[in-house]
Amino acid sequence: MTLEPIDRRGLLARAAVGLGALTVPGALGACGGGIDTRREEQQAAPVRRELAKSLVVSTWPFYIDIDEKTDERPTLEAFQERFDVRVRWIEDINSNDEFFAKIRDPLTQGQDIGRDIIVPTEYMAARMHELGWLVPLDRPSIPNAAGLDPLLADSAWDPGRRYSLPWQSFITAIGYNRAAVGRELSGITDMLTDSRLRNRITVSSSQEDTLGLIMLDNGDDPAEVTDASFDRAVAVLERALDTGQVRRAAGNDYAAALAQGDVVASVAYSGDVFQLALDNPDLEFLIPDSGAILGTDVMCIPRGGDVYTASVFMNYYYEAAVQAELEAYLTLISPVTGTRAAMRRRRPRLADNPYMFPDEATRAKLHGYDERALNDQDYRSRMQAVLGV
Amino acid sequence: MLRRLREHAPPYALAGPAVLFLLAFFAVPALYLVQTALQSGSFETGYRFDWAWSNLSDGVSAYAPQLVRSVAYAGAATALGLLLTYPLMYWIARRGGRLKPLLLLCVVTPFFVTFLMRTLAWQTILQDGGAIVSALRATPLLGDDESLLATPFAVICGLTYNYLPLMALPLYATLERLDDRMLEAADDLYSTPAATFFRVTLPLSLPGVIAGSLLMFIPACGDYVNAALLGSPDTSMIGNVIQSKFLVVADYPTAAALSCVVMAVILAVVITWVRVLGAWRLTG
Repeated sequence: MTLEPIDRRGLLARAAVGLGALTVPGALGACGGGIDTRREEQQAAPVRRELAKSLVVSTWPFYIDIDEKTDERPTLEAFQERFDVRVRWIEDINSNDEFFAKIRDPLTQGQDIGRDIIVPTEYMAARMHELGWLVPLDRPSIPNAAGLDPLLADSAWDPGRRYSLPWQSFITAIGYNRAAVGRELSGITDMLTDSRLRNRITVSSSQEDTLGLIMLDNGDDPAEVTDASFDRAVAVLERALDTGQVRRAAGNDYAAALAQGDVVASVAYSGDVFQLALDNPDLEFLIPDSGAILGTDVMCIPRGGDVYTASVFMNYYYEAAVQAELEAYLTLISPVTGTRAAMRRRRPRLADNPYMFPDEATRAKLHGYDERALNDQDYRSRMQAVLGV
Repeated sequence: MLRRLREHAPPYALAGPAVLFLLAFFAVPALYLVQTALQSGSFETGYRFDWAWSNLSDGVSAYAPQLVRSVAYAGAATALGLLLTYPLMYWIARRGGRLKPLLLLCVVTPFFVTFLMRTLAWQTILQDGGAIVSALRATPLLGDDESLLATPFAVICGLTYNYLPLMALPLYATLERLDDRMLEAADDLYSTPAATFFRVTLPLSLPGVIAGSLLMFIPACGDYVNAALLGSPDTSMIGNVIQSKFLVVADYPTAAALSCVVMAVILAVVITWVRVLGAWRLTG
């Protein structure tokens, strides 16, 4: 799952990583034997409650507030000052799969990857947990987690959030140019079948985004993917690709195409459309009646990470005021319930932004996507085959 | 003994670092790649080496269209690159005079920009609202509902542009060193300009043509960035499949098997190309 528009999630860096993977040393890193480590329930080792001098966080590019004038990261600076912990903020996750390939060998061999916190998307965290790579959080050190949004309080792979806490969430639905389409779209099936939009739409290359929305339109539950629901969704997508309805299956670069007018509708992320609509008011974000997909990136502690310091860091970022400062820059969906009230004090206009603080009716339409399906090799392979690879 | 060592050691000492480099970064990884290509299993259960030769044939049969497409696109880009750069390099090398270094710099300077940014620039160049598409739509060549992006044309344009210097520089080096006396001799023997070109200039510049086309064709064949950013599912190349198998599906054996197949295909194309051009040089 990728979220940010092209300038935020660093398409350049992502492609550089991808290119590296096709070089021989890259191939070396990506090859290797089978997965030797199977899941072992991590023993909750006694936590030494003493702050480390430093904390290393691996995350996505531009996934924290930045002061444009000073280039500093205000919330991070404040954390360092308050706790006297130096944070190394490493923006080296450009794709879940590439990051997985990067840390696979050391973690499989039981080595420390030199990170205290990593921020993968939920399904990837589930895979890492399954492989025994994550250690439990020190929940007593995270009292602010009580403010976790009930919508995110549990996940299929981590009930009760023992191993993960959401960092940010985002809605995947339809972004479209109302003026160019000439009418209101009703959902992804509408977009994939209206011949007037032929060759003027893109879908996401991510299984959960595109197939998730199709499943909802089909009346299937994306949180419980079955062979039958997967087949039905793939058939719809295949038909649209075969007829030339879809111009391409895009990554983050869909946003640029939508902004330029090359495509008039696309599977899109809420935060992106919010940003694009500031420049082009014709762009709208549609959450179909059938529902939309809620994606979440989560903070986890990999084996070898400093559990206490990492947990203190998470607790700090779960303060509503810190969240409000963070969201004023990111404009995504905060996992902390008190953020809206804090935002109303800080930036009242943003507090009423439906992309950031969806109302109850919208929240009722949000669905997660089955992490097992995302980690199922057969499903992944079939989705890629539909996309021509 | 010491004297003999002193006589024979320098060549080995000179070649040593390169040999070690090749061993470490080509031979060993290549063996590892082959070993991975012959594994079986799944990501969930783990992969085990068991001489799974079927990975090679299964990979070829499943992804033959992408394989053929890669060779075709890389071949088309190489041919286009040759057609575009040969006259230009000829002009710079033979008529550039004192401006040669400057003109050559003009050719190479755009390539100081990163590969990815150059590819993204083509998205802008070929966008629907751009000048090229607007101009073409005014002709019967492009319909109102047609576009240039997400087509083989866009991918080949990207490949041609991105790998152009790899063709241009060897060509320049060869053309710049052409023996003027040969051309004068052809002139003295009343050869027409066209005959001089085809019977003297072109055969003498063939080493540059061969080197340039190989340097351009080989990376273009394995490229996946151009197809990913400028293409569509119908224009996927084998590099996209390998990338997807390695990083998305985590099917390492199939990815490694396809990598081996691509190496074999490129080797076959290169040998054929060199033989054809070599024979033409001798007989033409």
